[in-house]
Amino acid sequence: MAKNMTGKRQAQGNMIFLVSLAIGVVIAIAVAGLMFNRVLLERTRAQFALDALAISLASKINPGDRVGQVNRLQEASRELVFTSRQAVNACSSQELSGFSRLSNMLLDEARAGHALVENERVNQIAVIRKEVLEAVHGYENKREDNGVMGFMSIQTNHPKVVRVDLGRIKNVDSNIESLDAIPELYEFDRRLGYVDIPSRLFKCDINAKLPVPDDDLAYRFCSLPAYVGKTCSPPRNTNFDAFKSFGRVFFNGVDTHETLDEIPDALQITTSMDVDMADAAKKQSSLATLSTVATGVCSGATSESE
Amino acid sequence: MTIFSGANLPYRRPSGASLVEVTVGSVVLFLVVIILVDLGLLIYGVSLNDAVCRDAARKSASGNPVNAQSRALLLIEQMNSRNSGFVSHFRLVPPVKTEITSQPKLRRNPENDQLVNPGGLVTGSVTVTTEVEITPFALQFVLGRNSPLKFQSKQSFPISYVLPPD
Repeated sequence: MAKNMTGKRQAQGNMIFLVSLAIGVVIAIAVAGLMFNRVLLERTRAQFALDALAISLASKINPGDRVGQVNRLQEASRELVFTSRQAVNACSSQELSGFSRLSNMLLDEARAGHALVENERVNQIAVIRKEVLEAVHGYENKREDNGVMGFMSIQTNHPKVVRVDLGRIKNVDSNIESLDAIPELYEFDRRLGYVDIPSRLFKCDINAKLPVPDDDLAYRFCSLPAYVGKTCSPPRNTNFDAFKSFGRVFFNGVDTHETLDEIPDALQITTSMDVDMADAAKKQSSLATLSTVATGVCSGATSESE
Repeated sequence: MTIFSGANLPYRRPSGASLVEVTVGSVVLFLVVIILVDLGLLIYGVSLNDAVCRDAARKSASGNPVNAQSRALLLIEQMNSRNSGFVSHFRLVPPVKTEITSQPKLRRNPENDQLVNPGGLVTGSVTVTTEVEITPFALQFVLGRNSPLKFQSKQSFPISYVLPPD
């Protein structure tokens, strides 16, 4: 018995076994390659879908050039307060007491007008936030209805929106040009660095205060691609690192209550896509979670600052 | 001369039997590899067609929607001239579908009572369908088809265009 067990094995059948093993290994490698390719393909498709979503959401920020109009209102209010103050000063220096009451009244109206403009600016931030969130919830509801896509026991879920940030694009100033119609104001703006000298556009992220005693009024121009040479910047995608966030408005399926101080001109969406694998018993197990980010910029101003 | 005492089987050399097994196994392995190469080619072609369709959709959505089809055609032409490998016959399936959801409305100028275009954002989407024909090396014999296999891809992308004012 022991002799039989330790004896010479039959050579016939060895090659069949080795060739079958080789075929099995080749097929296994090919199937693994196909699955990996499938996951990569789905990731590319998800990125494309996310880019499209980012552009369609960004289009909701500045329809009808409302952001540009708020900037123009800010500029007009600023000039009105400045010129009204000049008129009050002129009346007092030239001892025109008959006009001083009228000029003071005009100044008060100009300052009250600034409060209205500021209220509208805050209102536009809320409106933009609401419309973007409605579109995000619309996408999420549609995604849940669409279900999952399956292929060779791999199931790829549609990308889920994890986070939405509103903000602006770095190095983009406002659409408002500082005109030299009021030389004193233009010189003041230049001296305090409110204006980008080569383009003459007001910078964003600053409080363009007027000289004392009107420095209690805040003038915030928001970032928006300017209307240049009859060309308006269309909504587009941009690199994620060019984005500066003002705050999150959506996180893990819930609207956040973070306060935004500025009108945004761009948004950034982060999504995650679960890739599951089903075994023979149709039991799902997570294979990978792929994360994708897309940044969308709204359309620019559609007319020149006046 | 017999090796196995009492057996009436003719003598077979072990090296000869192995040779037969390797030959038969190699043929099967070769067929498996050829089929896998064909499958790979098909998947490569489908992925490439998908990518071309996505690029064409993006390109046609960027700009005036009136010229969406010509932009898509131009891109596909470029891709066909660039991809000189296995798969290079991408075709645009007309028409390029343009769906406009909003666009600036003409306004009447009170000074001269003429309609003027105020300019503004155009929103909507462009849908592009592309097709590619792939002739697999061996699968064609297996499938018994003479014509190449055709694969289509359909992609949509939002329009990004601002109509300039008059």
